[in-house]
Amino acid sequence: MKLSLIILGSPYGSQSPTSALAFARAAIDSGHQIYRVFFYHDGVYTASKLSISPQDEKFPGEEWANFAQQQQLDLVVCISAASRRGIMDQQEAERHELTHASLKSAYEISGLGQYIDAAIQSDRLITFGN
Amino acid sequence: MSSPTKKRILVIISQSPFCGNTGREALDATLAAAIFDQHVSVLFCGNGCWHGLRTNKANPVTGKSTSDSWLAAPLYDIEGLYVSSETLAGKGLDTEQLIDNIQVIDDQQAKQLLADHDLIMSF
Repeated sequence: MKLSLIILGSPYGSQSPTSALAFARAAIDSGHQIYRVFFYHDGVYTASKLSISPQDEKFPGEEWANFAQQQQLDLVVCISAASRRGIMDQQEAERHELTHASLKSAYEISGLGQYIDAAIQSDRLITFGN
Repeated sequence: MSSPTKKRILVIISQSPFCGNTGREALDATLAAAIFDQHVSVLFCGNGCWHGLRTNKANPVTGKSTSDSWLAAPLYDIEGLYVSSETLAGKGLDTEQLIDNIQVIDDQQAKQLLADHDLIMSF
């Protein structure tokens, strides 16, 4: 089955990105395909490259990035939700005349159209968090 | 089942409009789905029913109200806005307090609404 995951909760204020990752691993192990992972609301904080986790703790942003690279997954961060929360790629940072970009590599900034496209193309849309 | 390029999407909003910015972002996603020419309906559940209040003023976070945008839903070809009578009763609200284009249905019809849609976008 073709699945897309929507992550709405923040990596430290909620279990949403961590649960979604466990789900994604189990789904792929069971032979399903992940079409897209879309980060929206506070879920966009997962994609911050300015966040660091202590070595003996889980690091949802890094774990998602590694998993996505292994599995060639599409990790998309909503541009409007991200801009409000200080998550910018280089191009957005320059457009807003900001000194720094904050988007981790492996993630990509795009619009809500990617969410709707995921809804159209996937057999199931699974939302984590609210 | 609809063709793969045109799906029946039910947006379920269960977060209060007075709590954070979820309402704005749920509205944006709903409008995006409608703009992409999908069949879109919205079900307000639990504290989500407060989005339908006609007297809503500004959201405490953004300083803007989303009620006017929901009122304009038909202009974006959003097919229906729904709330269940049980939800309203639970909050002590009645139909007169809601914006005009929200339809009040019972829990059985709400269940049918879920069954009638291909997928759910949940906020």
